[in-house]
Amino acid sequence: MFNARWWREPQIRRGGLVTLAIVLLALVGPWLAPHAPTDMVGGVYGAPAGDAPLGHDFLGHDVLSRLLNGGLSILWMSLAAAAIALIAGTVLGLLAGLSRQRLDQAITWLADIWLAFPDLILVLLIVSMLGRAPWLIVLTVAIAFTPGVIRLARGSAVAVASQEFVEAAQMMGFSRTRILLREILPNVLTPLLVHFGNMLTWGIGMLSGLSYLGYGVAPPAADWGLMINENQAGLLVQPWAVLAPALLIGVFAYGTNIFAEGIARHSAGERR
Amino acid sequence: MPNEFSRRVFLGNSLAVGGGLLLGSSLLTGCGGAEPAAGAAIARPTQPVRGGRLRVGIIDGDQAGNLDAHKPSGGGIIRGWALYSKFWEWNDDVSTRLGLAEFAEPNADASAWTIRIKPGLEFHHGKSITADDMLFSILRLTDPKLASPFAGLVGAIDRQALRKLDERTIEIRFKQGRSFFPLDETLIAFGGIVPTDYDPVSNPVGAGPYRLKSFVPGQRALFTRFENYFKPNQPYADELEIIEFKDQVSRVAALRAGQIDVASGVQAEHSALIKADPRLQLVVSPSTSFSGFNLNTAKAPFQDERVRQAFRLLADRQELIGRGLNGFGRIANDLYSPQDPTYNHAIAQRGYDLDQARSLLRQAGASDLRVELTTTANEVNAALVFAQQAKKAGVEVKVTPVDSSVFNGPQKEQWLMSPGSTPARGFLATGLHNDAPLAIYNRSNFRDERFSELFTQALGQPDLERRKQLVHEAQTIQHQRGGLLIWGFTDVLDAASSKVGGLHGEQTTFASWRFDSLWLNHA
Repeated sequence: MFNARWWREPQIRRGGLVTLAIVLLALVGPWLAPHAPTDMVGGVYGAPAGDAPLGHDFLGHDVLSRLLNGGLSILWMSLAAAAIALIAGTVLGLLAGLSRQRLDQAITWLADIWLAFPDLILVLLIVSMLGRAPWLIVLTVAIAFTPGVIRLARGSAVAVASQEFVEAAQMMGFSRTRILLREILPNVLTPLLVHFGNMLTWGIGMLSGLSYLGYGVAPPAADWGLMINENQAGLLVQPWAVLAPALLIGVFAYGTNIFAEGIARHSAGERR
Repeated sequence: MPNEFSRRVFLGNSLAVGGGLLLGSSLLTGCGGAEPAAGAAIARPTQPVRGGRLRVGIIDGDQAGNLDAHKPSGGGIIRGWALYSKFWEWNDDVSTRLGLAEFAEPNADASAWTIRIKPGLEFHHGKSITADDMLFSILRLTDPKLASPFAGLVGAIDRQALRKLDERTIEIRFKQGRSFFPLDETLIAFGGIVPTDYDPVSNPVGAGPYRLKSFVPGQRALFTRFENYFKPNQPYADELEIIEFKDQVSRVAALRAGQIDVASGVQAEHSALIKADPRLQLVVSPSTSFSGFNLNTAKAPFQDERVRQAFRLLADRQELIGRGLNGFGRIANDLYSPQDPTYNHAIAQRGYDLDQARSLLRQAGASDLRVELTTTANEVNAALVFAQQAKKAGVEVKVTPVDSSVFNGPQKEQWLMSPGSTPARGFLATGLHNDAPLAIYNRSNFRDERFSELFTQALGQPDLERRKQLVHEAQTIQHQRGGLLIWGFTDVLDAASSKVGGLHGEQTTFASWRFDSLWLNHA
């Protein structure tokens, strides 16, 4: 799975460090915040000052405190959505790739239909109908991502399954499960891991977008996407309440993206 | 490959460009490089000037927006102020005065109204206004097939009993011989007088100050001056353009850049920016539009009068004004229409009393209470402030924002707790919006037998002193056990270029919609 040589790649290292910094900020932030995220401690859209370096927001919350508290939701939700999609998509994709029969046709057909819907529209539709509970949002985003994983896992599995070492394992009479887990899965993990990084990036964008559109985490929770939504009216008077969370979302997405792309490049280089 | 274009490069560049733009725009905003120096205020002419194109920016952008006089949607209400005139007009203090009508009065028991229009009036297309048009307009507004949501306000009108008395006079009677005094306040808003050949799409003509030239829903509407408007020498501008914006930030930017002349209903957040710009004027209208919460008396825990009282006591009204309205408002006493001559000023202002609130909740067995406050995105601020305040009394208020379409959908009277607000109107008209018998949006489900009796009597009582007695008792009931928590009255903020004249603060919510009074110093 994790290859120690990856870390020698500057792009992977850079992406990893940026991502790690944001993850740390999201995890440790709530303990560092000077105020509770819902405490109204200052004036509405108060300017940055000594006790509030990023000023106050639309209700007088401390922007820094909400910023430090607001990363956790986007972090766990994007990770959970990407992980669920990865697991579900891999299982279905490998099953399809190995069965090569009706099951393959059915899974591929369903994935293709699902892929035809634009992700964000699909998520918006489901969330607006069924509500905005965090687990539902995560599940919906995961469902939107799963067909992509299915296609990738199936394609990779088909390519690996035709290789000699898999045929040898089959001739030796190993069970299908063993072949799947011991021969095929390890050989399709790298592209799936790269795809996981991409899904993380898309998830960050999609979840922030949902919060910005008012379909994500419900107020008064602190959430970077929601902060942009809540404070956009004050953009001209107190830009930090919008700028700071937007910047962190951008940096987080940048980090995960170049990390994933670095792994992809490295793996491609190794194959050559 | 040295010139390879990858996602990484794209993303990196996008971040740099996007961040730079955001930062740059905020810094530029802060610098305000193109603005004249403070203190170099532009002199405003005091006498109306004729000519020019007045450009008014509104928040809408609804592709389904229309021009319907009786069933406006989107910015249709604002466009209606340009296109249509009514029997009455609003005064600055939310009382009414005659508009197209030269006589409009109820009989002694308010069971019939007689309305006569001024002579020589005509519509934009040259047709004279007659009693047939008057009847047509009322019949269209109340037509069940049109299904105007505003028809309920004048639901008492008996369509079958409408009568033409002569070419300029009609008589209006009410269902089951009922009496109905507040016809002026209820018919004024959506009772635009239109010709019998009216069609909101193919023939959108009225007798308003401007006639339609072009209309693109979601974008803009252009109007030209109606030379035969019933007010001599008005309107002043040659053309009126109503431009739709999706959001407040871009509209304020357009105002500051001189792309529009008036921004109707700006957010309080932008008041400081506007005030600091000598090229602009900020007009504050201390309206009596109320802001509050509906406590659904049909559902637990609000079936218990003590819980309703406790909620009213744990609202820190001053803080709600400060944070929920950015300081632009005044505290209220759980009663609406303080400008109405029948308002009961003897009822003491309810204060913030956490101890008494806790005690009442204990008495009601509701010390550890959890309630859901369903709101729309536009009204979430005050809800969040109230939720924080309620926490101090051990009450957990979960704020749930929903789409406006859901909020106002079939469930609209089912929400346990929801924000409530109504534009400034008299007591009876506001009651017909909110908590009176047959109210069009009774979200609090307040149905008190004695209150209903008093309200119904007041509806049919033209005598002010007698009506005052009825309303005083009705308001005492509302204050004691009603379903509304009215914490504030909202100021309406309008912004305009210093070149715009005729815009002044008033108690209504539509100072900037009086297009027949606004003028532009285009010299």
